[in-house]
Amino acid sequence: MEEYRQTLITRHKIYLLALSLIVVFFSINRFLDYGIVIPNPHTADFVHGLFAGTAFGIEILLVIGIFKNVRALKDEKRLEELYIAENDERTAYIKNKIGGDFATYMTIFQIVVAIGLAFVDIRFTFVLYAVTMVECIIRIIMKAWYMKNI
Amino acid sequence: MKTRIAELRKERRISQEELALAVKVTRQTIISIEKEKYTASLQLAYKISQYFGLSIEEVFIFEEEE
Repeated sequence: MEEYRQTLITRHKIYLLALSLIVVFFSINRFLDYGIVIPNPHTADFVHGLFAGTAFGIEILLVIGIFKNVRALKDEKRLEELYIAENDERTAYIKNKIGGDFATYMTIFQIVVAIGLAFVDIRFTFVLYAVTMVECIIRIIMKAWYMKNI
Repeated sequence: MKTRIAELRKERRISQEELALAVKVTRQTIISIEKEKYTASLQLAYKISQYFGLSIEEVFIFEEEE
């Protein structure tokens, strides 16, 4: 359990760093000129909104993660519960059924590529972003179904 | 795969929560195994059997599919 505690402490530091970076990005997002060629002026607001929305969504997930980590690190019983929840074989089985770690890495990769594509053509970003969001929604629905039926 | 987990638990007055904690899985996993919705891995089957002090064959009933 001590090894898991150390893992949690490292994870906690990474979450805090990521959260800080996102907060900085969130603060300066409005003032950034990404050098993106935008087809019409109304799209500019949409682009900033899209990036800010993504950052905000990730931020919420990080805050939830930090909150969970802190609670577990303060209480031995919660630490064990979190360890069990993360290493539960049924949960791992369901995770594999919906694509496993590969699908998660693919989602992150797609978001990064989508942001990068904004510098080529903003339409590519919208398309890839929409595809990624649909994939995420499908995975959430599949997970809910498996959680109920397995 | 059929199991005698629920029966053994009731005999020994053990809750699903207690069993889950002892074999380091979630309560939901124990529920799913008892309801035969999920087949436990060999490692988990061994842990559960050990917890009851029985052999795997005495806790899990293997039925060959037709």
